[in-house]
Amino acid sequence: MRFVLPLLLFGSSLMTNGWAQRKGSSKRTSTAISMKSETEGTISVNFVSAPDGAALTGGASGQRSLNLGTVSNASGAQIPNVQVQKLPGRFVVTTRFGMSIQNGSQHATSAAVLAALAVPDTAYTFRLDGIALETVPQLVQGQARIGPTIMHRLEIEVPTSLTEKNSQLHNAIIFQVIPN
Amino acid sequence: MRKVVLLTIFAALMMISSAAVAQTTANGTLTVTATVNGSIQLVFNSDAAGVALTGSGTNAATLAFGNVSAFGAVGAGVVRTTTATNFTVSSAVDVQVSKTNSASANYTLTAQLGAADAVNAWTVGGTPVTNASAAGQRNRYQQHH
Repeated sequence: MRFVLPLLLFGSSLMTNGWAQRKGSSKRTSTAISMKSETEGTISVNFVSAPDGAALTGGASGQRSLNLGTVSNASGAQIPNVQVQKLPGRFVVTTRFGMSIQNGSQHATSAAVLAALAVPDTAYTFRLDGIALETVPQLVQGQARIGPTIMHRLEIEVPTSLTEKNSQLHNAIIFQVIPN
Repeated sequence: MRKVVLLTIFAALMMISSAAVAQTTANGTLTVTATVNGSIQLVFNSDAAGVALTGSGTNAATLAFGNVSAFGAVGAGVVRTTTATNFTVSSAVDVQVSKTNSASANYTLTAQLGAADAVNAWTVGGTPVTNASAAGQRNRYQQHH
């Protein structure tokens, strides 16, 4: 026990001050809260409207909405900067948006970006920069630069066989950013 | 005592291990919404037995009968019937209507003359048409006329 206790104390210090808690933080209510504070304080995701993309609306910078408006195979899109491409048996709705990764205190200069659909969607196919999205996170960028805004292309494939029953498209893309 | 020591060491290693893999991440959520409207599309196609259309395959084609008369020659695809008091020229033309994103099974096709014609009588698919109002009939998708 004489040797074990120091080892435990060492491990405990790694958990709190070493990695999981911001240096100088005055909040010491619990480990879990401190870890959350660390996450929010060092790295964050911001979405911005692309000059050639549909306007993002609402929410905090890391939680925005993208309304593509009304789209149809014959008439295309009704709002600016949303494109519709007709293909046999389907059409593809495309727009662009910007995303930046901000890093407060860490030294990483790049991060891996993963994206996933919030809920399964059997009617529509979502693609981000050409990568089909699922509810399982997909690697979108292995080494995204931290700082500058990077433009992304969102494509939604709509089968022409869908009917009025599936006319409302509603989903969310959850991004996860992990510093390299 | 030995078991306690081993368990304690294991617990300590687990703590170090979990601390080592813990890393800061950030999440962002982009909500995406859209409404898909159903649509139908109409194109004119040249019929194999009719006059070749200019602009076939589009929704703004031209059917030119050429010179017509009661007894003279008529162009390819023109069918003529002559009676004692008048003659009729006709041509088959295909109207293709397709639908997307709709459960609708039928559509109504109507026709109307672009300008009044006080001299000639016009029919489309057997239905008389004038410039006054649209006249038509109910059809199923992908039918040809």
